[in-house]
Amino acid sequence: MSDATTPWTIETAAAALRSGAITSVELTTAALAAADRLDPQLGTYLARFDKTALARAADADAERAAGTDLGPLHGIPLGIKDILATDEGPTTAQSLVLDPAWGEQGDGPVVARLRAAGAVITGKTTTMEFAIGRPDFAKPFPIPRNPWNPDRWTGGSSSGTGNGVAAGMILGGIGTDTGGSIRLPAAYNGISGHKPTYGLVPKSGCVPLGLTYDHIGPMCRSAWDCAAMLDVIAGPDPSDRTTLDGPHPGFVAGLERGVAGLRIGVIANQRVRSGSGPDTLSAVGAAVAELTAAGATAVEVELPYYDELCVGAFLALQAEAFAWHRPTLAARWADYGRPTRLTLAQGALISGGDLVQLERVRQIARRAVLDTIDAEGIDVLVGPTTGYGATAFTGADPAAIDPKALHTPPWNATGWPALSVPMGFDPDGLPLGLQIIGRAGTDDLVLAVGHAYQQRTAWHLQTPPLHA
Amino acid sequence: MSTDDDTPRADDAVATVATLLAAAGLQVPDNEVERLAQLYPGLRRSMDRMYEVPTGDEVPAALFRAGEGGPR
Repeated sequence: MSDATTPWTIETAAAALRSGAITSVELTTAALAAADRLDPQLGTYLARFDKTALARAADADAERAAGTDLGPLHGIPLGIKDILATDEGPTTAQSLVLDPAWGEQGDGPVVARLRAAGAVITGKTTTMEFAIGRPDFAKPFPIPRNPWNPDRWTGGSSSGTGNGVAAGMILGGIGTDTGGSIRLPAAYNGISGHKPTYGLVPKSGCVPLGLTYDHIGPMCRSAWDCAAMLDVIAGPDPSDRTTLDGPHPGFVAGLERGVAGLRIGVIANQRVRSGSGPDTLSAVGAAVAELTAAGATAVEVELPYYDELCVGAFLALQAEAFAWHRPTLAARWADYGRPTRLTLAQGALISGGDLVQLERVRQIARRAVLDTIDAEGIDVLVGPTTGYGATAFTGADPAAIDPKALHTPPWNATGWPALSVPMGFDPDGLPLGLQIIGRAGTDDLVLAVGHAYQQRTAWHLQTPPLHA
Repeated sequence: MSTDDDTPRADDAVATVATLLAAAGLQVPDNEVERLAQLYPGLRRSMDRMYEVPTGDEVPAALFRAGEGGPR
């Protein structure tokens, strides 16, 4: 699904829809045709809503013809990770365990807001079971594969949204991120993915995992597209009392601020260096050079308690997830996939006192990191999203599957915004991701830095061998 | 399990993990108890390192405020 030379983005498709160069029905038909061809190889969808999607697309075209413009998502095909409920159909969380009645609540605020903005919901996308664990070949669900090399994983857990965007089956979609589940598949699939500030986007209507670590956010080709989706889905909702009060700034409106005068902190902790391959670190260096060439200054920074933030996030989210899953784990142990149940059960090995201590360390560490970047005058932090490109299903490099290669969890612990954008390829031709992190509430700045980077590079417009 | 002692020995880990899982109401096959027992010493070491952070009188993030309404 693209024009002659470059893939569609939400930005370019919205412009084409507004100019009349294409209709939403044409765009949606092409998206569904791409899914007909590619989904059997890539395992993107758990459920498709072709009939309602085409009907919504026709409505969007009629609305536009009548002079109604609902914004950049009007008539755009999007996918929804199958841990969010939708009006159209069942929610499985890619599990045999989830009670079908859970999904009968229908649209939560995020899906409802997308729908109100005119988005065309094409279906529910694959995940790791309950958004945790690893691909499970023993269960009757699709295995999401990487369109850059189907012998490689998409990353998880927002796997289907990640490979669906990369392969051109959808122009964007919704992912969730408890330890990196938006940013990891964004990096592995060569797209952009934004984990918002905790509480910016309401989480009701989504199966919980780590209750204080969960985030819902956009996954698209570009930072511009992520900003357009975030403009729609951000904002408080009474159904989620963790949402932040007050209006948010316009994220698309803030994209053109540029990076001139910004001070960028390049994360230099040993855990990042030892948990990343040389090609990845080289790509980070090249990305920083692009940003400094655009007027930013860069400084290396050692973040205090970085290891504790990484490790503590894993431990605490397991405990929080166990609290939600304990009744069903006790009743239906064998119905969970083995990777999922073994991960969740580790939450039973963490005591109540341990969880309190994890929360206390989280507070101390968050404040210490904030003090450090304040003292250094740093506006945003950057580093690799992951240390390596997409891992193989079998025979993976041990370094690449070591938890130390995942550089996303600290920002679930702090709740700060973190965007992953493509920054190049490894020697195997697999995408690498640059992570851009800001203070709480600075999603607009993080997205603007990503946008500035993408104005100077075209990594985000590269298409994989398996593409529409 | 003791947090003021060394990491549990491997032969203790199976019994410890089995006890904790049973206390949580989980009926876990022996081979999976053994797998969790392999992971447990590392988990415990990671957790015990958290107690080395000087947290003083730090209050957890999950604050309780009596004046706030609860979930509806």
